[in-house]
Amino acid sequence: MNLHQAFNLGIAITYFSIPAGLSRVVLQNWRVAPLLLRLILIAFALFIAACGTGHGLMAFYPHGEIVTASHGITLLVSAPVALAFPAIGERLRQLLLHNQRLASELDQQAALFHLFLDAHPKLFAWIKDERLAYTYCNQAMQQRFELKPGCYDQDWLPPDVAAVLNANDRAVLETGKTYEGIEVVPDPDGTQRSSLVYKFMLQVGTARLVGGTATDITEQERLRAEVELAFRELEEFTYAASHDLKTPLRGISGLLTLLERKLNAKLDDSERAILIQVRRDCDYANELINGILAYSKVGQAQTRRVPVDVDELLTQVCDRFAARFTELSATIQWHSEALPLLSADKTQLQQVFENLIDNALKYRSDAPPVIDIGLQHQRGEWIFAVTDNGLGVDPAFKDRLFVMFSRLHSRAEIEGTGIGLASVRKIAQRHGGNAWLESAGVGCGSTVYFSLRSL
Amino acid sequence: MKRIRFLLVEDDVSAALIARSALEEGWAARGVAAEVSVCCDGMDAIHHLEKVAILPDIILTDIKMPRLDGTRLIGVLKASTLFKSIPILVLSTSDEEDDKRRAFMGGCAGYFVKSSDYERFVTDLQVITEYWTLSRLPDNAYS
Repeated sequence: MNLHQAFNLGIAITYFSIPAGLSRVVLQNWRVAPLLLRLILIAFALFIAACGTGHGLMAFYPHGEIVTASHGITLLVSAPVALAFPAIGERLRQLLLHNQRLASELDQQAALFHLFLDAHPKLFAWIKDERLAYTYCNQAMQQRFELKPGCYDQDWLPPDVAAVLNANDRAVLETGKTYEGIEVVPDPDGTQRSSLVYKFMLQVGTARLVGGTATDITEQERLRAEVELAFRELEEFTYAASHDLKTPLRGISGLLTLLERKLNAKLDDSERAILIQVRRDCDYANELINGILAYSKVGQAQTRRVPVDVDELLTQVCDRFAARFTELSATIQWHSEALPLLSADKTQLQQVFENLIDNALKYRSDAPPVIDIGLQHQRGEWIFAVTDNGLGVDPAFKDRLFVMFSRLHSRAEIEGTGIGLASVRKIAQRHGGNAWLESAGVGCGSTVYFSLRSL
Repeated sequence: MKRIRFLLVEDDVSAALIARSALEEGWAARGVAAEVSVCCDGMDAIHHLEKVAILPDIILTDIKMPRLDGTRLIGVLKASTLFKSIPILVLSTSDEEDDKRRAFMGGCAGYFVKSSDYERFVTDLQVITEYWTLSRLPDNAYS
């Protein structure tokens, strides 16, 4: 073998190693590489392989027709590559630019995202991995608690607090459901702080992470507790005051009766009229106090919801009104089959019906009272409608009626305390609902609605 | 005229006046003179019982009172050999289950929620006190 042959063979072998390497690269990256890139690489590999073949043949047949044919094939393969290259090159450049832009946009977004989470004045944000180690904490959290990625809750919190937090995390990981609640965590200086916390699952590929945010609501919680306490104290006061007022009032009422009995024969008409008016005032005061007592009892007692047979309850309530129904030729109707077993506080529900039926009879028009009770289920609520053909209400005043002591008629016209509808609304609210009134106007009758959130 | 003796334990002066009047009125209609002693709380009642010559036929007591309340008064009297045979009727404004349960556990003879209607109060008081008078001492009920 001469030098010419040796060199050509060497070149041929070197040339063949290039397409071999290229095909391996193409095959390995078949899924990720763009089609264009794969085609270019394959064409280039063929071109080099053709060149290698040419050099191999030249080693043994320096001037034969075979070599000429080989060069021809090489030209055929390389010409399209060479012709397509300017277009391909441009396309490649665009691809690379695009990738670069994407990468820089991602970087910018990540930076913005960090900036956002770190700039928030009141937010703690973090991510924990499946073992509940912190993989991310925003700056506020890092600074306040000196937290570092990789640490656990046990590393910076008392064990009992960490256990509560981790239990919430695990529940999120196990169920995939978002946690919303209040977590109490001590500050580095030891003061207990309440936070409104959200924890939610982050699925990244096959890995599951728990993301979390917390906002300090210690001050709001303190205010809420204060308001609750004040409200409870007011309710207790109302109850105690009305309860204690009953004793002297009962005394006045009883002694008044004694006086009436002892004096009756000796009194003239004008003196008797005074005594009768005192008796009326006394009865009114008693009625008011009983009303307030009933109202405050709604706030005092726990609302105990049990299954209530509404049909049965209404029958019982109507029995109590039987005498007045007869006296006024009043009728009442409801569709028994449409009334379900309802979860409600039985005593309170009874109080509502008593108030509403009493109102319908009291604020009647000249026609015999007709009362209709309907019920429908709507968006998680049971809504009762008690409709009458009574005096009706000017729509402008319909909301005022639910305010304690407010009335639209003087006592000389119709007796009443202005507590009934306030109690109805309060009871409805204790059941997660509300009470309201609809009326087309004076003389048109009215419908009182009250709703109970179904459990 | 026949006589019946009551001890009324009641801290509210008006309520005591009314109950006394109702008792007197009710029994007068039966031709019986009701003799009503009034004590203002449980302690007062015990002191009274310790010094009277003739024990009352029936004790009527309120529940809520200062110093010694009705429930505890019942406990003290039922533990005493001298007084345990006197029937004690609770005369209360409270319709609370708890109050009723504790009064009966202590050994009261009856629990009576006061009616705000005076006429009815007279009748009710008459019926219940007469029942206890007759059922306890048939021989010398109206001595």
